[in-house]
Amino acid sequence: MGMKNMQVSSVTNFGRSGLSDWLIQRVSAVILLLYIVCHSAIILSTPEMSYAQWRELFAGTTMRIFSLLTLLALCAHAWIGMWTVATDYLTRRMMGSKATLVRLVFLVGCIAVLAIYFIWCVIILWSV
Amino acid sequence: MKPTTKNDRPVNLDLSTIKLPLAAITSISHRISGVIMFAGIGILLWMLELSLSSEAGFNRLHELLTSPLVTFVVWGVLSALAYHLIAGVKHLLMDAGIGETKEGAPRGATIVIIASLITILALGVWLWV
Amino acid sequence: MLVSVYRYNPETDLKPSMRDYQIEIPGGKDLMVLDVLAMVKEQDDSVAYRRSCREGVCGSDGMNINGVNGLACITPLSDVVKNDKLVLRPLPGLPVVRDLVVDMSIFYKQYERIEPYLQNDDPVPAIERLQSPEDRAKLDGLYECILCACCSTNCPSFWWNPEKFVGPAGLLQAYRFLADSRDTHTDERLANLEDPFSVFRCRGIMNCVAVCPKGLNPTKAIGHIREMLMERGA
Repeated sequence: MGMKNMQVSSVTNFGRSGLSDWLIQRVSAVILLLYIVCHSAIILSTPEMSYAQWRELFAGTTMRIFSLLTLLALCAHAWIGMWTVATDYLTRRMMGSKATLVRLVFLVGCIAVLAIYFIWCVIILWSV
Repeated sequence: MKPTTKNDRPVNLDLSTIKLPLAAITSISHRISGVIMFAGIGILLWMLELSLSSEAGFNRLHELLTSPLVTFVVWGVLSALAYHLIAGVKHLLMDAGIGETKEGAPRGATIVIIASLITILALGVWLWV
Repeated sequence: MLVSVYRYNPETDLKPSMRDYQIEIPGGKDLMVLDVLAMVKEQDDSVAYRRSCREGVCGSDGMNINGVNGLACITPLSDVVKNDKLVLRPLPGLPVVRDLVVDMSIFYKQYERIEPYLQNDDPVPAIERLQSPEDRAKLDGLYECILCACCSTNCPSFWWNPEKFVGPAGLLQAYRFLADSRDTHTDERLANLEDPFSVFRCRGIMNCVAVCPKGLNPTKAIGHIREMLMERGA
């Protein structure tokens, strides 16, 4: 009598299950929070920061690693967020039969933007 | 008589007739600020690139930040970030079981709004003054 | 008092409209919204709405009253009326059959989906399945749901994806059985809820808690389900 096949599957979400998406969203949020708090503290504690100081801050390996990890966290966090928005509003209920195409185009667009951010940021970090 | 099918049935989703509690408003604002940040990251990356490119680039950025339009946009992005972050912290607290009650919901929402307003004003002062 | 009622007759109307009625409230009485609806029906016999127990236990008369979902029979006018106007609309998000009567099918389908019955593979005992007072206490705040749908029809995530998201009422009941010490199918129940939609569309908006006429807390129950899923799968 079970209704065990009523799970809703998805191929465009980030993780392998609703739980993994949720967990990744939370963990990435904490990483982002730490990065923002650290940077805010640094910027606020050095009011008249010079170019040399700013450059030196980003030249170190620690900052590069931290920044790159944060960037990865950002890509995961942003993707999960935009996917949720897309699957809430770009639906058949809201837009009729063209919804699936619109949603897919939107999601591909989001991936493209995040990929560009990622590559761009790597370039910035390693150009210092 | 008009022929009707089950698929023709109207749905009451006129949001102007539905009273949204404070927690619902902070929740949709959290989503909106997140979507703003999606574009905002690009602006922040551009600023980072410019500031790190050279001494001239660094100074150019400071110069651009004296323009009202640029400052306004940057303030907007940072404000969205601040709000999203503060509301996000509320969500993390809710995950830990804090504020998941009928009384806790509007209380948490109020704290988020007040903390965000203070932060956004502080950001404004920092950028404009 | 002005009473504005959402009217829709599929046999005569192309689309819904609001119709106004002037109702005389007998001197200073704080009537229930259901009483006022009965007075509207005296004026206009064609108004359709569900009602039964008139004491807040059957869940039939859930509707949107001055913007807030509630049970008409236990909502006094003093709680909701401002500026001498009462606006009655059907529960949001569900297809309207007629006037204030909505099609609850998808709501019930999600409820059935979570298998709202005790599942215990152990041999049936000679007497009842025993449960300590402490274990029984875990069901408080969960079993009292009357399936009025005020919560799920107030939930934006349920509005956008009622076929995929189980919704606050269904999930509260899912947890009611997950928390029941006499149920042995915990793992199967959790396995049925792992996907990105069934549970995890809950964004913690908490519209459900704000509106439950029995004072229940679906958000907290969903939080517990997430914890159990984490224990199991993380």
